[in-house]
Amino acid sequence: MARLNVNPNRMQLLKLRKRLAVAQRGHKLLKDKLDELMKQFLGLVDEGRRLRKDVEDRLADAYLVFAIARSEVITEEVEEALSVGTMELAVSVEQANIMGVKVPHFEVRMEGDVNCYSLISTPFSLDAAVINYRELMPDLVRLAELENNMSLLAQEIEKTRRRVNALEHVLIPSLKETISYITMKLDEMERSYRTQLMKIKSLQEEEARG
Amino acid sequence: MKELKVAMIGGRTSTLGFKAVGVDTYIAPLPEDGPRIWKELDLSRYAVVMITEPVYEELLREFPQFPPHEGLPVVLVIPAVTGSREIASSALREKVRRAMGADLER
Repeated sequence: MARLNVNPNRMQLLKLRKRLAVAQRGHKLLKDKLDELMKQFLGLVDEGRRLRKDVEDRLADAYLVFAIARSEVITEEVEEALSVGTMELAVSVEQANIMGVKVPHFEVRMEGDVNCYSLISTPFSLDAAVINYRELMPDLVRLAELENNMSLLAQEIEKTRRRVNALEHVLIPSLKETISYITMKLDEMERSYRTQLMKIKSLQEEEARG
Repeated sequence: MKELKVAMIGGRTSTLGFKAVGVDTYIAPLPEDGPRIWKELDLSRYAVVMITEPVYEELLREFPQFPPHEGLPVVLVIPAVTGSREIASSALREKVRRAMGADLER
């Protein structure tokens, strides 16, 4: 691991020790965040999968009933009937927060009635088809929200994991190595200082004797 | 709080029913028309844009990073009348794989 390029003195040693403590604390916090993000993400994935399957099945049914309705009359009549619908669909958007990730939250608002077309020229099955679609709408919007949350969380998880790894495998080891390098260097300096002193002392003693 | 609408891009048969419940539908007679419609769409008006699978595939081919933005509108891929091609679930699996660093097949 690469040692940091610093002067081996006591000042730097103290600084590096502080940095190491901060890095280790940051690493622990980020790791906790990553664990919690994973937990939330897996919950979302479970719910999203279930809802996706449910919605796709119901959508297939809705398509089927609609196809039956269309087969009973000429296409233009169905199109005409549906294009005068007064039904209003609005989605109010709010911002929610999952573990510090800002995600949109949708609320569906539906107003008006779908049954505003002529009951004489359209088949009964069209009513059923349109009701199917209406019931499907809130779940479709919910699914869009869920899948969007999933991708936002997935991005955040990737980012957090990268930071955790950078701390764990790059910064913390190199700090540790630099600290041990400085410690050894300082010890070495102290030893050489001591031998110098001993040498000088013995020289002085020799001189005094004689 | 904003009030936005829902749009849908898809074939005539797939979109027709959604029109009745107040979705703004944009008909792509052929999937190849999808990118043109997407470019002309006023994205700021919509919270959710539903796109049928064939059109979505075409958009992916045109714009490799689709959907090209973060935030609204959210793109929801739904099966067309011709049946599900499992595109949405494979995209989901890919997301899980990238987030977890492992393929979780359950």
